Amino acid sequence: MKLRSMLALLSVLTAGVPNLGTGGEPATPPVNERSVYQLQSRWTTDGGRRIQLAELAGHHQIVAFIFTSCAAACPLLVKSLQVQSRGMPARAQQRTRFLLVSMDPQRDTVPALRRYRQELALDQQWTLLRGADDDVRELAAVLGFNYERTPDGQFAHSNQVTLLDPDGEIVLQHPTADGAVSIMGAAIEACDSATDATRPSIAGKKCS
Amino acid sequence: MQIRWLAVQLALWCAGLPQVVPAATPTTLLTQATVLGATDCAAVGSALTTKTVLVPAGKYRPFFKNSLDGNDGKQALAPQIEVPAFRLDAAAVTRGEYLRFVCQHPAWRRSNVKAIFAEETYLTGWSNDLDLGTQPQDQPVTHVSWFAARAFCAARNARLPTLAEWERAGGDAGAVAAAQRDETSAAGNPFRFAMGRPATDLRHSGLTFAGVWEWTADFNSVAAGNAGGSGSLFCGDGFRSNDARDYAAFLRYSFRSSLRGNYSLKNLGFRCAEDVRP
Repeated sequence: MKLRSMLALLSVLTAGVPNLGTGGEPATPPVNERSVYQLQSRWTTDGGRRIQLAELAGHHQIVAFIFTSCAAACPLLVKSLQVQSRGMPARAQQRTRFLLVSMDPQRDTVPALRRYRQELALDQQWTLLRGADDDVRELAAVLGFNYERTPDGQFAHSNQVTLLDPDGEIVLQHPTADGAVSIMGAAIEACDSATDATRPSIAGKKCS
Repeated sequence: MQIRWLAVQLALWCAGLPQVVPAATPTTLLTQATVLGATDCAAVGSALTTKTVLVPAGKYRPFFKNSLDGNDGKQALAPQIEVPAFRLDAAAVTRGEYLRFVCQHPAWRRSNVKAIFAEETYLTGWSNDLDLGTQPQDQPVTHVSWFAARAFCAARNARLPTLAEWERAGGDAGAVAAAQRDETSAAGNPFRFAMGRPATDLRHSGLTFAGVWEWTADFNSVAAGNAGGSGSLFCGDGFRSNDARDYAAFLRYSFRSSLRGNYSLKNLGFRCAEDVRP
């Protein structure tokens, strides 16, 4: 009863909203207010294409941060994600993409990212992005990823891997690459294979 | 559709009662809402000039030592970092200043802000979007997230200070020496040191700290975070700090390490910084 009357009131209120608007502005689509895709920052792919994060919507995205001059942990991290991805259930694999964001935009130019893709044989499931320092810092803050440039020109960073659902909401995070994709693939598969009635939730949110 | 009617509807809804169908024109709502909003924000007044302090180029030694250094497995003191000159707000941003900001930027009002950018405690204590309630407006605004603080500074063509800048200006490396001279004051009131004290060369600059923690642009850097070896500081290996006696810095770094960007805490505010044009 309460809920229904609230909805009725909301519909009355929103019906009045166009009158209150600045006039002539196109209505923006409703956004999930927990979506990372609310960020307005602009990024460049290793193909030189300019994109906003919202363009990644529609697939599950497994997100990690890299810097391509990293000698030690980063190639291992990416390799680990890559190996695990081959073991994902076929349907989950189809619905999932991988996103690598550079924390070192100064050195990770478009050609550097392109070389990185070739060296690691990353297929089209993978998106590589570079952006402005400030925008990387912002995305990292949204995802809870910590990093800093060290005096020797390397980076100290966490190895956190994040799963975004197709709306861009954080649904799972794993502190390391080890096991991350397996766990995330299983969660995605569980979502996909369920009927509406039995649909499980990831992190308290119904699978979308 | 009048304001009064909406108020009645809200009251009815709160009481769980059905609504009454309206019989007024939408234009009434438009007029009244516009006037109402304009009045509230007009009363807030135009932005005052913010007092800033020139922080000359200086040095800052990170709280953490380098990671394992050389063959003996011992750790070297972290090298000092050069911090170029910049301007820093003389004081933390006040509630009054923040009120002006949300007047001009509706997206950052309490009822509009998105969950990913500020948790539920955002602007706790305000009576509504544009009303500070009984809180003094000349005190530091708190219950603000990193995203909100960042947006406030950007709206002023400024930015948050980096961790190195903040520490260089307010971390007061001299506090350790002072504490050694006067053990009791440091031990008795570590938070007074921790929340900021002007560096020696800024003592008479007008730079003030008012007992709140403050956001930095790169609060989520590793030294203040949970990654690599640094996280182990909080598991007891204080030996990794450059000076284990600097309890104030320890508190500050520990606190920063606990933050997420959307946290909106009671004792966490901010101030802005600006580049100095050469």
